[in-house]
Amino acid sequence: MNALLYTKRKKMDAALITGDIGGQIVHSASIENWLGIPEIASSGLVNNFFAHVDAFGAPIKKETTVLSLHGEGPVKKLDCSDGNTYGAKTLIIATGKNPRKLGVPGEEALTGRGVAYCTTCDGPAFKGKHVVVVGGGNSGVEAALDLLSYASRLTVVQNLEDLTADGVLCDKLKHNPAVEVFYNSVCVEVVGQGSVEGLKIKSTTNNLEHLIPCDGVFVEIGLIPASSFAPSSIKNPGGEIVVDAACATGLPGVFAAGDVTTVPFKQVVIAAGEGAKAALSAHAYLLNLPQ
Amino acid sequence: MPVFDENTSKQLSAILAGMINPVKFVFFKGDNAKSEEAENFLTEFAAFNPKLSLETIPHVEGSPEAALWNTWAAPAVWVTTADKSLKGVGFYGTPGGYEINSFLMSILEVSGKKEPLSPEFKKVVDAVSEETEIRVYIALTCPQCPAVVINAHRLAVENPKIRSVMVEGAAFKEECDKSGIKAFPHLVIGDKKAEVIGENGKDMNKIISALASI
Repeated sequence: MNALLYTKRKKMDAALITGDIGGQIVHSASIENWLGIPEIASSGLVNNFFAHVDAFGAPIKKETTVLSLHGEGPVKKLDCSDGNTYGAKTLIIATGKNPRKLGVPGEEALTGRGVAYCTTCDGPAFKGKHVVVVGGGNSGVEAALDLLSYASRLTVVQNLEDLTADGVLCDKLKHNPAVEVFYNSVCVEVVGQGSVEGLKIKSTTNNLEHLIPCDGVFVEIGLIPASSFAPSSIKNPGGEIVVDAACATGLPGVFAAGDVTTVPFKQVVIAAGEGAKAALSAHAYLLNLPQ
Repeated sequence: MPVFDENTSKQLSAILAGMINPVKFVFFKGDNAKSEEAENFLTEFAAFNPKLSLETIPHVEGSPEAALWNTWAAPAVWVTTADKSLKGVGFYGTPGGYEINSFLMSILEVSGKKEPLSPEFKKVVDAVSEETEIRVYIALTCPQCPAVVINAHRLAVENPKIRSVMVEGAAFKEECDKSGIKAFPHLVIGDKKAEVIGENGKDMNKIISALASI
């Protein structure tokens, strides 16, 4: 959104194509590190962003995802989920990241039927239930602590020998009697007919399998760049779009910003700053195009 | 303590200034704490614009009023026109939290501020000839949910045979368990004739396909 703001301030003819408004931010409850605002509800911050940008009147195509990008040639083209192909002289990719999936049998079929990726959305559906959280990093442990306000029993599955979240969070979790943690364990299968009935895990130390009967499985094993539409020539092996200090990609006229790129540290303030930079780079690119 | 603080009240009043025609809340109040909460919410809300009014009906299962409005539990609120002819835009529970967005949208839409459905969508919606209830199970903490409720309500405004209701999962837990709801949002058409789970319901195409499949 900040990229759009900067393009409009440069009086460029710009449009936004997006699946949603706010992206990853809306999956957190609040933001506590936006300079000048000690704490704000994530939705509030997003609404402020959107109102600021929307006032410029640029066309905003919501609920639309990009399926493929054709960045060669003077007009860059995007094939989109609404069935249309959109073209522009310059593009900024700011698609962020999506939750990483387990990639085990049963996961896809039972998504929305017990397999979940968003604690603030789906947590309340598990009141008094037994829930498993997969992942022992910050997002996993934070999700587990969130879920404790609903779930009566909680199990954490971690692939390493200890939790890797911040110490304060780990302490809170470990001291809760409703919580059990399986270390050195990976997921093998989500089990259930029509809805989740259990999660099969395997120990990485002795290869023994174990079935945890449960009602829900929350997957919190990090994020992957939302870049499947982009050609592999502009991505690193992890799927991040490779950018230079000016947010330029390997394709002239195609810029990228924020969490989808190789820029280190994924933070709201960094992504917003990168968006501004990409917009200014796109503006400079247009000015320098041969007439 | 008031439900809405001064700042929120100002913001809501400003949005509601966009209303065209008067809108009535028909509120079915039960003998439970959730109904008290919903009543406080609606009473304050109705004061945000002179075009809004609140009518409270004690909910009695099987009563003529409950039957007339097809109301199966309380609290429930129907957003309707002044003549109460529209009976398909409803909320079970309190439309607070993120659902304030779908509540506002339903009020503006019922007041006459609506965007037309595309002709292809309208064809599918018009073809629904039997009474059909669309339930959207939600959590008030879910930022993805209001978009799905808004989509469902648009269909109800379009065809009087369709009744679209938000169902607050936390307030109707038994209902959720009975229907096997394990995600929010979760949209169910008729008696589980079709369903659209999760963020998929933000895409009207997917709801229309589900509606066409029944």
